[in-house]
This record gives sequence, C-alpha cells and structure tokens, in this order.
Amino acid sequence: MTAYLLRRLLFFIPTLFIITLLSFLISQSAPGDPVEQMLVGKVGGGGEQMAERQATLQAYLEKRRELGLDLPIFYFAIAPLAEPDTLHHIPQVQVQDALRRLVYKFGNWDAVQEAYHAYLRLDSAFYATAGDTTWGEKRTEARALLALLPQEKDYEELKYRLRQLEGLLIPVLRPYYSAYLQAVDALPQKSQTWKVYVPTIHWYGTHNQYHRWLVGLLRGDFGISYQDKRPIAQKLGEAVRWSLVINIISIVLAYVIAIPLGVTSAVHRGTFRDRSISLALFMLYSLPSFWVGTMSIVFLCGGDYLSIFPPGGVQSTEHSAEWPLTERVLDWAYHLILPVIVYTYGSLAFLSRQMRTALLETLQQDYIRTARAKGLPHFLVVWKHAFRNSLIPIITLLASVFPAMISGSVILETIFSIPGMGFLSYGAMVARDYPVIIAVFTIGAILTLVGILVADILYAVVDPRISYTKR
Amino acid sequence: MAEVVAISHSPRARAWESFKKNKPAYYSLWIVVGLAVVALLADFIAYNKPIVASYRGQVIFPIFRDYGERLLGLRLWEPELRNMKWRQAELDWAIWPVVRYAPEELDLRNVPAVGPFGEQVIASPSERHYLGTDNLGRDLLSGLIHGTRISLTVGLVSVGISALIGIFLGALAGYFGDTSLQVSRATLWLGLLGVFVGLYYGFYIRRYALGEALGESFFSFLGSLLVSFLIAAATATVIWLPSRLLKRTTWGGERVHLWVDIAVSRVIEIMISLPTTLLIFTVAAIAKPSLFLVMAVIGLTSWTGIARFTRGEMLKVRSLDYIQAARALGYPDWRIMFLHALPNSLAPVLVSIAFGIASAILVESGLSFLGIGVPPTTVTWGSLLSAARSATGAWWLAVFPGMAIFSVVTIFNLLGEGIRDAIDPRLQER
Repeated sequence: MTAYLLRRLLFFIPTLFIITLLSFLISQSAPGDPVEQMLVGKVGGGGEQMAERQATLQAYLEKRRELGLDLPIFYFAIAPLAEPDTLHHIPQVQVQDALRRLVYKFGNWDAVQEAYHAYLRLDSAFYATAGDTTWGEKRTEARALLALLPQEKDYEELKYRLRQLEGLLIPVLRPYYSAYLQAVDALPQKSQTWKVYVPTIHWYGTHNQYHRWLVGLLRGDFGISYQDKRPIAQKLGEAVRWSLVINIISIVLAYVIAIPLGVTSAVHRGTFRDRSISLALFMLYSLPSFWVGTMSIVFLCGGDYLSIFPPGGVQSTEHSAEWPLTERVLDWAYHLILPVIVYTYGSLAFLSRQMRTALLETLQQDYIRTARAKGLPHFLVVWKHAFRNSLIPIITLLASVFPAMISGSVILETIFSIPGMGFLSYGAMVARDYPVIIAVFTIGAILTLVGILVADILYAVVDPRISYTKR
Repeated sequence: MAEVVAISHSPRARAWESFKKNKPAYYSLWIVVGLAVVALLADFIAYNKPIVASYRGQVIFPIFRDYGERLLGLRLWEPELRNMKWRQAELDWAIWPVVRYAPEELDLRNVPAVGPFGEQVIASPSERHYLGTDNLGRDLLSGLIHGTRISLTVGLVSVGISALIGIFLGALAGYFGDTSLQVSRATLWLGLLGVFVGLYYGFYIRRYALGEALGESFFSFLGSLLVSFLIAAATATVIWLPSRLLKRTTWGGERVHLWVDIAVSRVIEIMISLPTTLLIFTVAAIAKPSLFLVMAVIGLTSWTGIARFTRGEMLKVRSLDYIQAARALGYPDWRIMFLHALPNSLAPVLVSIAFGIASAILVESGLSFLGIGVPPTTVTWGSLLSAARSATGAWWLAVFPGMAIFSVVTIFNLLGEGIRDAIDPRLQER
C-alpha cells in the first residue's frame, strides 16, 4: 500500500505542474496591461508636460520591473525568425501586441522598428509643442489619435488613422509626421515574409515570468489584487475559512443523511418507501442549486414575502467579537442554515442514489446469501456484512463531491453573499481583477487534487482486498 | 385470443423495447423532440413582427424577410418598413406569433418587472406579457422560448465536441491497448516532428488570423480553422514522407509499441483532477464573452466520461469473434475499429451524452446567471433567473426560468437513466 500511496503522490506533482501551467496560460491571455492596472490612480497618466510624461513612463517601467513583467514569459520560446526576442522590453502590452502583429504580417522587424521609432520622435516632438498657441482646439483630438496609433492592430486601419492625423497637426510637426508616414507606407515594400516561416527557438533559462510566478506560488505569494492593491494571499486567507467551513459541514451532513437513506431504500427495494425516496432524491438531484438559492432568497429572506431567514451574509451587522461565544455561534448558525441546506441537498441526493446502487449490488453477492442461509438476523446481514463493503464506492465519491462543491461555491456564495472564495472570485470576475481569478482557480485546483488524494488514501485504508502493487 | 408477441433477439431491439416500457424516459424523449421543435420555430412562436401581414395592400412575410437579411445577407426591407413598429402599425390583417415580443426587446411601458397577473400597460389583450416582464421590460415568455434554443444548442454543441474527442480517444485506447499498435521508429519520430511543425505553420503563426476570424463570425472562424487544419496536415505529411525510405534502414525500421492506452488514461486522470467547472468559469470570465467559446470550453473539458465508457466497451468488443474474423480477412485496423467495433460500443456512450447535455445546460445557465461568458444582450434562462435577484418581489422571474432549467435538466437525466436501464443487462432480470 505504501508503494501505491507513493505512486499516487508522485502523480500529484506532474498534475500540479500542469495545473500551474494552465493557470499561467489563462492569466497570460487576460486582456489589458497589468502594469497599468497596478498604477491606476497612482500616477497622473497622460499629462501635458514633458516632465510629467517622463515621470509616468519612469513609474511604469519601475513597476514593471518590480512585477517582473519585463522578463521573457517562459523558459523558452518558439518564434518566427522575424520576431525579435527583445519585444517584451517595449513598454505597454498593447503596443507590443500591435508591433508583433505587424512583424507577423511583414516579417521585417527592422522596418517595423524604424516606423515605431519615427512614431516616438513624432510623439516627443508633439509634447514639446505644448505651449504653442497655433494649436487651437485640435490639440486634444490630435493627442487622442496619436496615443492610439501604436496600439492599432490592423495595418490598413493604422494607415487610415494616420491620414486622419495629418490635418490636425501644426506645421512644425510636419517633417516628423511625414517621416512616420513614409516609414509606415514603406512596410509592404520592405516585407520579408519568408522570415515568418522560419521557426527559431530562444532559450531564456529560469529568469522568466512563469518561473518567478511559480516560485512565488510555492511561497504562498499570489501577487497583488488590482482592486485594492492588497496581497491576494491575505484576501484568500480570510475568504477560504468560510468556504471550508460551509463545505465541510455540508459534506459531513450529506454523508450522515445520505447513507441511512440509501440503505433504507436498498433494503426495502421496490416498496412504496423505496419508490418515494428514489423519486424525491431524483428530483433533488436535478434541482439546480442556484435556482433553489434564488427562490429561497426571494421567498424566505425578507423581500416582499416571508422573512424567516436573514437576507445573506454570515453574521448580523451588529455582530462583534465581544459577544459571548454561544451567541456568536448562534448568530452564525442562523445565517448559515439556509446556505448549508442549499449546498447539501445536491450531493446528498447524489450520494444516496449511489449508496442505494452499491448496497443493492452487494446484497446480490453469494456471501450475503450464505449469511442469510446460516440464519443471521436481517439487521446483522445488512449492517455488518453488506454495509461495510458497499461503503467503499461511496468514500471514493468524496473525490468528485468536493471539487463540485468548490466550483458550486462561486454561484452559491454570490447568491447568499458569503464572503468566501467563490464570492471573492465572482467579485474579481465582475471587476476584471484577473490575478484574483487566477489565484482562486489555482487554489481550487490544488484543493481538488488534495480531495482526490484523500479519497484515494481512504480507499486504500478501507479496502484491504485490493493490492496496489500491480495495476 | 392469444396475444401476438414479437420476440426480438437483437440486443438493440431488446433495449428499445425495454426503453419504451420505462414511461418517464420514453415520454422524456418526446418532450425533447417537442423542445427541439420549439427551439427551431422560436421566431414563429414569439417575435415582434407578424408571420404574414397585409400592409397598405401589400402582403409581407416579415419574419422570413428578417431571416433573409440575417442568414443570407440580402437587403429585403424597404427603408420605411425596416424600422416599423409592427404592433402599432395599421395592418389590414396579420397572423401574429403567439407572443408578440422579441426576447431582447425592451417594453418601456412595463418597467420595472410587471407580473403576469399585474396591471400591464398594453394596447390590446393580445399584446399581454403572459408571464410578465423583467426589470428592463423584456417579455419573460418570449425570453424563455428563445432561451430554449440557446440551452439546447449549448447542450448539443458542447456534448458534440466532447463526444468527438471522447469517442476518438476512448476507441483508440480501448482498441489498441498498449501493445497492438506498432509503427516503425522512423514513422514515429518523423510523425511526431511533422505534427509539431504542422501545428507551427497551421496554427501558431496563423493565430492572429484565427483570432480575427473568431471575432468576425462563426462561419469565417470555421473556414479559417479548416485552412489551418489543411496547412497543418499538408506540412505533417510532407515531413512524414521520408519515413517510407528511412524504414528500410536498421535504425528506422525497428518496430516500436505505441502506449496508446497508458497515454490516454494518464490524460484522462489529469483531466479528472482538474476542477472543470471552475476552469470554465475562469476562462469565461477572462475571455471576451461569446456563447461559442462557452460551448467550446464545456466541450473540451467534459469528454473524460465518454472516453472511459468507449474505452471500456472497446476492450470488451475487440476480443469478440467477429473482430477476429475481420482481422483474419486482412481489413486494416482503422476500418475494423471505426466500422465494425465502434458501432457496437456506442450504446453506453448514449448514457453519458444524455447526462452530459443536462450538465452542460446547467453549467451554461450557471454562467449566464452570474453574467459571465455569455454576452450581456443575449437572453438566456440563466440571465432571466438572475433578474430575480435585482427585482425584489418579482416571483415570476424566480419561478419560471428556474422551472425551465429544472425541467430540461430533469428530462435529460431521465433520458440518461432510461437508456442506462435499457442497455444494462444486469438490470433486465427484474
């Protein structure tokens, strides 16, 4: 058995690795520039003065270095020959993306870079004319257009926008403008498309974003939330308590109720009792928990109908740490009754149905017939001989019940406003706070893995018949 | 009078007989057919334009015109009729859909959330909101009818994707196991190289083109995807070709076993340990809202059950005599696998498909309940249900959409159970 558990643990590691890869991949595809998100409200972006702009850029670059976002993304990169491996040094993700698209289209990095530099020269010349009185009202419009140009992903669109800019500029800027225009227009002639079709491999070593993120993860550092700039680990630590409390109560409850129900159903198979239990469980199993949750909030928790239960949350507003413990627990219990019921019934129904099937199967075994034949009382046959063996598949189901509950938390915690992981995740989804979403996914995945591992270990402990050395 | 009983010995016919005896499951099948009809004809049941109308002596088929514009890209509407408000228009005569509202149409006279029995501001009784409106004034019944289309599409497409992947991988693993698939070393390595290079040319450097096509429309994405596949396949073939020569060398000619079963089983194990629902939520929250993406993600993450079933059945079927006979006749493996073995292994997969549709519909409605993944303007059962949270006291918003989700999920679950009971020989003794 030890060998089996070791193997299991060994399998845990590559799976965990794949999960981190997946999380990282998803986080990479999140739109927007993380550095800008972190700087929101901190530096007055887009100022008119040269010095101000310099300061903004400086702050941007500093923050980016601090977050490690100036590093290459992964240990290695496979890229066309045309794509330079210095692209990630350019500030602003959107600009990087637009330039990369141009490189993929024309295959000539030098020409693209030339156009980009011409743009930068036009840009600084533009800001040098801040005090110029010949501008009039056009300046704001020109500035907005100018800021959008390097982020333009489509070449034709870029040319179109560039033409629009022409009429807005004052004569001083004309030479810079025509240099930029020329560089952009020259791209199709200078195209070296073949370079896109030659793959190259760059090796970066451990100095990369994924490695940094992974090492942070192992240390319990999940990064910083966009919303309130707090460490995510801290936010998760506060939230995970409530999720775990509710999930564990629900799982225990589900097992405690499901097992006798399933046994009754199986022992009285085919009778009215079995049929009614089965029907009820089937209905419960198909009832979407978010519907039941919404219904109970609308009809039972204040609102226009009954108000038997509190309308969400985990404690009343006047709840404080100074209350006596019993009172605090009662307050929590009062708030958690409804959520726990809604959390529990689904897995309860699922488990009971499985218990019934498992016991029915066991009751057909020969050794049960033997036990009956030698005159053992019904009670002993069921509970001593059959029950224990049919428990095994139920235990392994923990591996599927637990993850389902974790994912279910996102909806249910939102409905009942329980400040747990799911609610945190939902808030992050609405606010586009990507690091938090990714962190919750990673933690959820790790918890799922642990749940499966625990179920496997329990399985090995409960069932001595199975030899794990050979498979 | 002796009753004539047709005794059928084919397992398929026996399963069908047994399925028909299971009334709840049998009726569920018919309800599914009915729902499919509702989904197909949704526009003729609930829409804000008549099916046929005579306007100033001209007979017009407005719904068909809209179809022509939307599906075929034609310009069929005269400018003055294009934005006409048909309910207010003075028509000579008209045949209307039962519900005279489009699902996403805002009836600003009936905001916020008017109940089915409440007082509604309407011009005539036939314009009643039979099930009330939500807080934006959208007709609930119309939303439910059109939501059927979305729910069924999500169920079918996502399970279709997972069935394709699951059946293919499960069949490979079950049929070949770890020892039966042998290739020469040259084929193996050049083939692998070909796949990688093919992916590079077909997909990696075309990723921006693919992304743009996805943003444009579903069909241009499909076309673009097809081009990518063709490029990848062509590249892979070109790279693989020299292996026909290399096979003759001692190094390249050595036969190696492909551990198909181990590989597929490992992938399944890893997939199972991923929290798929959470993964779907995460991807949907981060990517641009799109129904197609939701379906694709559900499909790509929920194929493991189907793969396991197919694998198990294939393991049984491959040792049967008729497969041995086909082998003896010298049929190629692929033909035996897909034409002879697979059709006999698919029955249990049906069970998985039925349950899979139920859970896909559940996941999608959960997503749109939270308002992630699905575009905000799309009216779905989940989004209608979530309106109940903001409109206090609107019981109809809590009851009806939830009822719709519940019934469809129940029906597909019943169907799944019915099929399982019908094909499970262990249960047939009773």
